[in-house]
Amino acid sequence: MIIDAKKLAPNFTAEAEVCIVGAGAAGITLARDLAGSNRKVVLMEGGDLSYTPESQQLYAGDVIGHSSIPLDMDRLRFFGGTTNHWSGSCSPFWQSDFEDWPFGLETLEPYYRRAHAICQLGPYTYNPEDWNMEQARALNFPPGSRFESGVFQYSPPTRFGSVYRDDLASSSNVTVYLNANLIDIETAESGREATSLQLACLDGKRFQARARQYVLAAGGVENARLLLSSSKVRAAGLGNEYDLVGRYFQDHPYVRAGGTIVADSARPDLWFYTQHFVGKTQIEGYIRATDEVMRTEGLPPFAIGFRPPELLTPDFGGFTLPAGLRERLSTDAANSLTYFVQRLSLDVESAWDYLHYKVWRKPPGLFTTLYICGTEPDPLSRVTLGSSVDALGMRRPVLDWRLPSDFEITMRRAHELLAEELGRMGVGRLRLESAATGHDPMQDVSNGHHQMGTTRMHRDPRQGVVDEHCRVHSLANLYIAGSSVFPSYACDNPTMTIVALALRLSDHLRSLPS
Amino acid sequence: MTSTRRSVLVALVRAGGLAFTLGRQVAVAATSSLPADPVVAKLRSLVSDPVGAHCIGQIYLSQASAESDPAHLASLILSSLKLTSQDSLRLQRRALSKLFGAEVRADFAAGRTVALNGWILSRTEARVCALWT
Repeated sequence: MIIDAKKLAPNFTAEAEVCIVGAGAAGITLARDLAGSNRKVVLMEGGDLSYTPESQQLYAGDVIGHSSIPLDMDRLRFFGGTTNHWSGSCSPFWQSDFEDWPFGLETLEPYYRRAHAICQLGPYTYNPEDWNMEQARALNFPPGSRFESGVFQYSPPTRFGSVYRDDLASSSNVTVYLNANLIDIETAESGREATSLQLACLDGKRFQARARQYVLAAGGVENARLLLSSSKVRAAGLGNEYDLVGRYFQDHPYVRAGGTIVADSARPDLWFYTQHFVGKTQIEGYIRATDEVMRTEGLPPFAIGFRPPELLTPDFGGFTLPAGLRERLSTDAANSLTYFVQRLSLDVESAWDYLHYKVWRKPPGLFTTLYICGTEPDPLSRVTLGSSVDALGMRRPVLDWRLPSDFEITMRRAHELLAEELGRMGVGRLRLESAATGHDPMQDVSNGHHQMGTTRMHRDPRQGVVDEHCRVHSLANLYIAGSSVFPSYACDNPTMTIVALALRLSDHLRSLPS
Repeated sequence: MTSTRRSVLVALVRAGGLAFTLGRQVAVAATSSLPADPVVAKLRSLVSDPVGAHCIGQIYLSQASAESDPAHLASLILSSLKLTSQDSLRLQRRALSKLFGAEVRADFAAGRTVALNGWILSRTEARVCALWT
């Protein structure tokens, strides 16, 4: 059942065994997985079924530190959450990416497989050889090479709100409340158990929810903001006994055109490292350093993909016109219009690239690189509460995103090593771009819209906000879902891992006494 | 992409993707007169596009002015290829190209590279390009 909270009776109380806050990839996956169980579930979504500027405004906040696009443009606040403008890139993390996690890849593997179906992906294989085709083959890195290939698969992309809405609407044990914004998590006097959630609609209506277990699935900034804002019993906020909530924020920095590659004309296989279809599945190969090279060179986990020559700007499209119109025309900031025009031009570029491939059936031979990395967790990179408040009276977030001081050095070193490897293999040559070559890639370091780390997972409450089951250490019945629990960030789009973790959390909740 | 950047790229692409293949007859270079030294001429023939090579070679020599003498450059190249002048003249171009390609790869494997206007190139190939200046 789906209910508009604005139509609820005054002082309404929703009661359930499990109350989930946030209907994005994590929240919808969790609710859907619990549908059909013997547990009553309520799913609270702050937005409506579709975009409204008033609701989106609740995401606004200040950005200090490294520049990032405005917070209210980063995430989407309506049913389906940020999957409503998700690119669809998916891959499981590598084994080595789990070094800082309380469990390894083997624990998440069965959930990744289930997540694959939910994200509407192709066959569950990330072995590059399984995706080779005549015009796009993974490089055959020789033994002892410093690099290896990986694969991203692309979801259609699954808009969770559209695709799974009917499943939730028809469920007998799940109720979705729209326009239901969490404004406070109330706890017992001890502060060790959540007792109710206070919710509000933008029209002023207030109501509450009571449940046995609560799950915050509101996004990397919002999860931290909600914990910090719930300070009636614990002045520093919930789960914040060790001043960890909001810290370790990280996004994936994207460096576009950090390198330009001229491929040997006899090596058309580099098309593998661009977005392309293999059968019905869109994939994109990438090149990464081996674990040993990352260790010896002190490099973060990174992926380098290739982009064909672009007409207008070293960026990529995929931002559909309708979504752009909805988002950009809803605000009046001049830079928003610029952003919209830019994204529109990128769509045109994507179409050009696609046509080029379809018409000529051959790769262009010239590429620019796209570098993505997962940086070291940094406690100074964080989300705090500002002094201004939103329309519901909640303090707005302040994001201080920090990149490591050696970010440029490691990015350039990764390109240098790749240049040597491409030369060694006779594949082509790489140019390291810089201010001296006319394009300084450091002027265009953007974020991947991946908010991570603010409620990091660790077995030790002194080092993490949630435990290995994603339960807030200091509260018996409050859980966190989403990439805010990531203790380290890999270099992959987090959505598939978010979905896998939500499925794992669902299993855990099911294992609790009813 | 600036016009300067694009022109460099085009020059490099015309150089055969820097593959230095021998598939094409070397055209008369507009950028350089024919060398009197037959060894230099033979080594220059490793490059399929003299215009691109000239561009790269000029940048290289701006960083390695001590190598500006063609005869000296040729001796450095032959040394890295482990050839004598007589060997280089006796070898067919295909065989010479094969040796050259192997040396370029070895340069990259060993980190014997130079950065020319951002391009990471093998020192040996940069020297061959410099013969076209």
